[in-house]
Amino acid sequence: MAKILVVDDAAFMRIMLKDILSKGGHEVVAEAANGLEAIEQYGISKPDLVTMDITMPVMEGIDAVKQIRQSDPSAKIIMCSAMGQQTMVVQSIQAGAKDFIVKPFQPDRVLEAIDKVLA
Amino acid sequence: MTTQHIDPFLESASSILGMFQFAPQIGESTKQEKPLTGKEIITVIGVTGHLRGQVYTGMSTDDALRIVSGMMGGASVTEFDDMALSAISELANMICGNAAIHLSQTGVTLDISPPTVITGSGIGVMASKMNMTSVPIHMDGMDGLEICLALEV
Repeated sequence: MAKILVVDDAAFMRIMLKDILSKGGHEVVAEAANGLEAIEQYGISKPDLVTMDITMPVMEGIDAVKQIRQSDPSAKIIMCSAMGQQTMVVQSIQAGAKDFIVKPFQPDRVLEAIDKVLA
Repeated sequence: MTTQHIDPFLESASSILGMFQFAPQIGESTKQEKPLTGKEIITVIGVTGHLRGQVYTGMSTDDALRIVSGMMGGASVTEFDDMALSAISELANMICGNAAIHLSQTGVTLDISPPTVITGSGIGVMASKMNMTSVPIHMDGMDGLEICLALEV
């Protein structure tokens, strides 16, 4: 079981992810609706793992990954975005993300990615 | 804007609705004078990059509720509340995001804005300087989704 921070600007996606994660035996310890909130929440809740959307207002996800990884180089972040083109995946991995899940996703795909990153 | 630019949005919409257990059929593309007429819920996503403009989706409230229900694995959805609004925004985001993936494979790279949702009756949409192409996505027993693109190369 992992403590997870869910970052997505759509409340709907946060609820769907929470549902998938809790059914998979994980605990969602915090949520954030943009990159800036994600950085704040990461510092407060110290999660084992983060799911990070890309297209968000205020601060987008790849910038948030860079900043979180700067303060915690061991941060484990999985991107969860509809913008799954090669350049986005490459930029995310270069920023320090461990995996990339394209929306819409199957629950199993999310749980497998988490298990792999935490292994 | 050519079919090469339009088709990825339609195929993306069709495959995503399919994932949510609908059986969508892409209809005829038309140049619309009055796109999205009668649609009570309209999403707008801004596009920049090799294509610039907006992508709209429009639907009736009843269809929106059915689509949100499908997105939530069949849960009952009876009111277009904040959660439903968020789900429909996400649907538009997924359609454009997945279209961007397909387009990137042909060398057309795009970025998209977070979605805006407009609700109401009797709304009209017009792009002042661009042609709008409108395509219905038919779904059994529903009015269906209208996708409207105003994009320039």
